[in-house]
Amino acid sequence: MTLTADGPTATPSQTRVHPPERRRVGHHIPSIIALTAPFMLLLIAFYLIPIGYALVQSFFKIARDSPYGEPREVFAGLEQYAIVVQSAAFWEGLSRVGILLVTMVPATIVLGLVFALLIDSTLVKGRKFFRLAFFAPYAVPGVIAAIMWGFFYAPTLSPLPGVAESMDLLGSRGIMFGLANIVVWTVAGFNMLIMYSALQAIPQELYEAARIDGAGHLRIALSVKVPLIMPSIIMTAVLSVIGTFQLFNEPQVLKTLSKAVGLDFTPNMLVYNTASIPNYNLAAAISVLLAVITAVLSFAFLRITQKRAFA
Amino acid sequence: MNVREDMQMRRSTLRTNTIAAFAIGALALSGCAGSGGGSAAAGACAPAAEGEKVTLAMSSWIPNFQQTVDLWNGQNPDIQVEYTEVTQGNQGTYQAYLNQIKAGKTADIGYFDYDVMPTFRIQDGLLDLAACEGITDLQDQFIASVWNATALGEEESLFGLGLDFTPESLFYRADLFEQAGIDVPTTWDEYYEAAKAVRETGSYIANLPAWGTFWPTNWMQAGENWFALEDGEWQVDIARGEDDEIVQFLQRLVDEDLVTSYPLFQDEYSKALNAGEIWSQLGGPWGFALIPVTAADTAGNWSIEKMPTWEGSESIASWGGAALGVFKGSEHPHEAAQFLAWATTDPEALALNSDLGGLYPPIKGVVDAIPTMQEPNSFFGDQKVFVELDSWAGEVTPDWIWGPTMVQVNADLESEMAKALSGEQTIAEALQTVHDNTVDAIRAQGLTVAEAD
Repeated sequence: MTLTADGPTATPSQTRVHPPERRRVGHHIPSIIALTAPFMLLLIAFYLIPIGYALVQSFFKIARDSPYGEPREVFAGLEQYAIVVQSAAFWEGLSRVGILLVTMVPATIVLGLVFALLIDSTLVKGRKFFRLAFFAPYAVPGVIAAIMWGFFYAPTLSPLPGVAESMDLLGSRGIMFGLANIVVWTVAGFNMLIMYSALQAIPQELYEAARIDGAGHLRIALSVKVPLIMPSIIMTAVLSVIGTFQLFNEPQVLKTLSKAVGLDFTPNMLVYNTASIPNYNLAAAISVLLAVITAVLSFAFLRITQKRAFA
Repeated sequence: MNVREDMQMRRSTLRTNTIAAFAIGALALSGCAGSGGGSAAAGACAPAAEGEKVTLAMSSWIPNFQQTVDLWNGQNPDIQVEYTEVTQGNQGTYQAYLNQIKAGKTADIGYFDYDVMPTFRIQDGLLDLAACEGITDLQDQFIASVWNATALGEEESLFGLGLDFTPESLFYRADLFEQAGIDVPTTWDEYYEAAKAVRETGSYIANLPAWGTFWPTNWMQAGENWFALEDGEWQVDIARGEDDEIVQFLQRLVDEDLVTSYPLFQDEYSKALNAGEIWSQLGGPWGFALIPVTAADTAGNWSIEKMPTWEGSESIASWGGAALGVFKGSEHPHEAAQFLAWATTDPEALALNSDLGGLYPPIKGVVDAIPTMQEPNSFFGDQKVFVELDSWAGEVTPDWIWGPTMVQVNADLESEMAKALSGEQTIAEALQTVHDNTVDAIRAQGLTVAEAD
């Protein structure tokens, strides 16, 4: 039996089972280890060990015998988690990223999709230029993008003071929109590139068949292209969901320009500023809880779209 | 179909491996969980070996301090200081210091505002300089309140040497006040009236920042302490009701649009200063260095005056001020202490610090001792600024105590006061939130808090 993308194909003599496959795989194990070792080492050192460390830290707290006495770490069970769950700041931050999740993420995906479809179609002139132009914002580091847009938003610094003043994007009314704008500007191009690459894999015969059936550009886009690249679309959606939950760079930079952004604006900012008190144990608990929530929501999202993602 | 089977198989193998890695990692690190805090025995301050060349690593945000360091390096070939200029403590450097202390990898010398010294002491990050040769002999040279601030209330210890003393003053645009015919205020009542008059000309009398370090100064001036330490218990008294006189005064300035609220010393603030939109700024002597940089277009038009006081009192506050300290993990504590002693008391060093860094050294009689401090300052209309400052420096209230988590207090103040300044909550509400967060933070350090009310 051989494993292919289409399914198991039966070979004539099914009584002759595994040996050739197994031997080949076994023979390659040392090479497999050698080739994946660098990645696994880095994964363990910079990913798994810090996660383990944070997990351990979240179960401890500091105890002291006197005001300036030696600090001791004592086991505290789920005390830190109880503090997090009861913290209004944590849930408020979570609800803010939740709002961004349902408004900003669809915007980045739809925008990325529209750009990808436009560039893939023959309707547009200068496709190479637009491909680069839409992707360029992603190459700008998040901090620089936030500073740049922050200057646009601040009425006294903006080149369009009237617009900045009336939109009040650094004030409490407009800050969510201002923040979402920066992230969409940065990320839409990245989504576009992923979807565009997926579009390249669609065989041309399908377009010919559709055109013979009388489909116009829009019909082809909606009925042929979009369904076929659905796995990529879902992948960008999951990446966006995870990225939104971890939002830190842009609001932390805007904090220096805007009075509407406090140190707990997003859960990740709360983690950073809690660690700065310093209260490493509580920060660890918050980050673990945030990671769990992100993981649960991402897996749930994948499950719901499972049929489409793994067609 | 098989792709899915394949992936499921790979997933389960990955899951097993991941769990294994977690378990190993967690076990390995649970042993390291208790790290942080110096291993050097308290009191040890041994000199380096004879003839050994020592390099000290130092960081601070004092303007132009490299020149002071260069002077030392030229005179001391065997003890060289490597200096790095970093951002302000509350804007990120304190977090870096705290991380370094936790990781056990600090530099030798750091710069610490007086208000955060208890925080670093609690994290066991500061070396007790009393054990180092010649340090305690310096006590008579320093202003008492500054020496106390660095001794943290302990008789036999010292955790830093003060580099500056920061009586709060009023920096103002003498030309604009004169043009408009408005008297420079000497009391807070006069200040309110002047604020309204200035607003009528279209400008603002001052910028009220969300900056954490600004807010305690208001209650410091009135002698209303935020913190006390009694019988091993901390007392926290930050919250104030809506009818508190100071709260009402500040709230009025905000509600009646009499002040701007840009982040201090950032671009919007700089633009407003240069355009003459803001007419004054309260601040410590660090203003001598920072205002010329921020408002370069307005040179020559500024003056300095004693800060406004409450009716019936002559007391003023101190805003800021910092000390040089030695990290506990330093490998050359003796040499580091020698540099500290020189940088804070040597007349040549002090001349450079005051001239280029805007620092007002906390040494008794310093203005008489150092000729450059008696010179007129061209940015401030040729006023002899340090001589003036000296005349009211003695009115700083002496009994203020800083709490053990000021890095957190400053961050929370900035966050909550930003909301208050934009009208989302009142100043009293902001203070209450800061109060509650501070009590939690102190308890999280394993300390006991008895809330004073």
